[in-house]
Amino acid sequence: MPNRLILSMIKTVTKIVSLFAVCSVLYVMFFCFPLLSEATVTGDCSNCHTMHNSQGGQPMNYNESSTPNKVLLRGDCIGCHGQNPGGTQNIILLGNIPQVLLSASATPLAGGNFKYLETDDNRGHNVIDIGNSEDNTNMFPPPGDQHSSGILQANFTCSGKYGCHGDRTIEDKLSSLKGAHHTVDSVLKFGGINEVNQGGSVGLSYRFLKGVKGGEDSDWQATTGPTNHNEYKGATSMGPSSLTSPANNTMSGLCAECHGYFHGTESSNIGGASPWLRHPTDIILPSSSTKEYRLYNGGTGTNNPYSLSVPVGRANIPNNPGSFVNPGTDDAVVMCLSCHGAHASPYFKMVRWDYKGWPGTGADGCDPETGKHGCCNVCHTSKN
Amino acid sequence: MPYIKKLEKNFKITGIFMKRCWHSRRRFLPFGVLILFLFLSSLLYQLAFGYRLPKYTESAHGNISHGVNRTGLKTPINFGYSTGNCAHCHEQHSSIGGTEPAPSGDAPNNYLLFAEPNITSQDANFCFQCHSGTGSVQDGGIIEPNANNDYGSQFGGGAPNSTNIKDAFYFGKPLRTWNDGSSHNLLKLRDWWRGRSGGSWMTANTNACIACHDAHYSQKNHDPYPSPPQYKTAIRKPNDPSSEQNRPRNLWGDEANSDAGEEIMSEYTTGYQAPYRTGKTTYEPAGNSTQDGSNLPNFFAFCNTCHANAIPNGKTDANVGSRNLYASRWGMEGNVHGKKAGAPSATNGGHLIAPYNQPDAYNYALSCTDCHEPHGSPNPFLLRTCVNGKDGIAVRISSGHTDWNYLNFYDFCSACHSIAIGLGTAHGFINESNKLTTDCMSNGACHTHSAPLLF
Repeated sequence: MPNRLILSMIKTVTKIVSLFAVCSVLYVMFFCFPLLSEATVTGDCSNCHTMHNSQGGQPMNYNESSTPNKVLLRGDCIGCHGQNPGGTQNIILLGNIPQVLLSASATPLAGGNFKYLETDDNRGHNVIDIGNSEDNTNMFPPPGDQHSSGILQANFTCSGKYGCHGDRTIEDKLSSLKGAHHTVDSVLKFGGINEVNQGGSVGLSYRFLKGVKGGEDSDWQATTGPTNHNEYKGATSMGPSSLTSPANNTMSGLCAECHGYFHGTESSNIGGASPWLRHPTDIILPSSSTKEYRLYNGGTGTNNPYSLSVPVGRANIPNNPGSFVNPGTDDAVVMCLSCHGAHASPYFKMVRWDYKGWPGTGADGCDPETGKHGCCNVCHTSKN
Repeated sequence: MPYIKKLEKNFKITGIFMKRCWHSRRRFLPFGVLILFLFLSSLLYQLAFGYRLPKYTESAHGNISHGVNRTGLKTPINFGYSTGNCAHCHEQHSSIGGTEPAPSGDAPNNYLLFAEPNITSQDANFCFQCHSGTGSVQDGGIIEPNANNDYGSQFGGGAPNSTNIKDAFYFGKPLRTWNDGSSHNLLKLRDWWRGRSGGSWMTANTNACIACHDAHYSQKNHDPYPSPPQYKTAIRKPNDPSSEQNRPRNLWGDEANSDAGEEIMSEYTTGYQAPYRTGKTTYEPAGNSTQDGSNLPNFFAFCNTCHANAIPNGKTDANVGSRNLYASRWGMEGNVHGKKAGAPSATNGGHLIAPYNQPDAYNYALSCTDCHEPHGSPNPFLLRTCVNGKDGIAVRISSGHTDWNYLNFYDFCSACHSIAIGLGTAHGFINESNKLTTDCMSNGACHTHSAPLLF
């Protein structure tokens, strides 16, 4: 009996140790290697929330403010996503939080770094949360404001009615994102892409841009490569946008909620066909042999290499990031983000490259990081 | 089961075919070699005889020192766009910094241009937004003194009759009398090309200027010419639009040995002799010692893209008169100003003066631009006022006449010909006092571009 008891105890201890080991491995996977996890917020509640904004008599807010935030958060948008404006860490490991305000010398994530606004107001979207508002009064309401967004210098923010993220029918920026961070969003993740189930809620929308579909890179493009990037939703024609709903669930359709005249087929917009009145978006790069676009990014017209500097959208989001672009097909859609950053870029009008300086900055090639700013030529291949 | 049988049959047929191919490989070998040869030939042909693709940044508009540079992007806000940048002509969103830069006030325009591109009259034209005098929206470049003078001034050294393109196209309009001068009628030129072979790309909304120029590739061609085989040129043939299959992006006159044809004048003929510039010590167009046309586009072939045909009455400007504009015949059977042999200078044939009076050379073939302006001139028929170093030439209706058949050509022709006048000469009907000519160019007369008998 004693032997059996000892054996039973050993077995029990072994089970406990094994369970502990498994739990430890899982813990390490989730917290020490957060990039492997889903965007769905994981980890301790206290990473983001505070019950009383007080611990040992000290405020718990990231900015050390004693003013409590809604939803018991320890910070507002920038409080979490811009924790160290002078730092270089583009993803805060504790909580796996992508950063949109960090040192200008740091590697920016796909949306861009609001820090560039310190160079000039015209480098990005001057949300009040950054504390560096747009001084050019002509920028309010937003240029091309077809749907009367009501956005002004004083209310322009990250989310809600006067922002881009969240539910734009809700004015409060935090309320507009309610529940989104806790939504299981595997339908937006590569390997599990399911467009049918995307866009129905903020949490199931690409980067919490309500209604927008897409494929989310797991590290927000902190690292990039031919098969390591976001996939943006495009469409083969420009649908009518509205104030709160992106046309055709596309990224460009979202931009059109505020910049509506820069999208759409009306004569006051872009026009219905070439010759265009403004630069078209949500249109397939032509493959005609008489046109220059088939040679996108130095290709021959078939399986052209995808350009990270001048990305295209896809009418159908692939289950894995695609390394090819085929002009004339659904996987070669011109979009706003083909040329512009979302938050901010180092360049005038948040263009992805120094368009304004071209050709003075050097005519040939497109690689902004190495000073080559001829990126219009990625599509307009004969205008080099 | 039928499917299985069908599959077996297909395999059997394929097997037999492959077996026969293998056994008859000697018979197929020559075809294979031929196909390979044709492929390689095509490849080598493209490499050896293709034409040069110009770049925007080599163009007059894309140059970072004298290219496009819109004043509206500098004032009231200086956005800091590089000279030569696309934004000087194109507005991606018809808005920069929340407003539309000057010239503004209209709806967004076709091709994203800052104003409507097509022409609505002889002086309303997108190109003239910059290529004009007062009111030009260009800063620097073409608005600098003598930067955009007429051909006779730019390349012949004469006094300018026009210092910008808009003014050049306004000669002869709107009064449309012979003494007002002449210019290519842009609307009629556009309509002439519409629907013609190679001209189907031109529509009622096409800017006529792009028949002859490509806004993205045309080069500033009055700089000192670079070394052969490449040259600078501002022109492209109207049937080579950049967006079409024919010869996309091919500039005319920018290279020798092009498979697009004899692009250089010296390729077209060994009989070309460049005229003098004013001062008569240097030659057109570059103002140096080159005189064999190796630095000049083959303007005959260029102009003949249209003028190989007679232009019917009504298709040209009203002040041409009530007849067709003759086809230009520059071949051996045509006109002595072309390849047709004239009488040797040694026998005083043509009564030529320098530099055409060399005794052993007489079969000269001129360039159209030796005598004609491309855009417009205060003279009729686009005739230059500065020819072969002789400046100030005025061709007008002779005194006492109102009919265009009585144009006084003496001053013009005598720039190259020593014309004996007065009683007892071939031109005995001309006298020194009024230098009258009579009906010398109208239908059936002696001097036309297509008269087969005399000239």
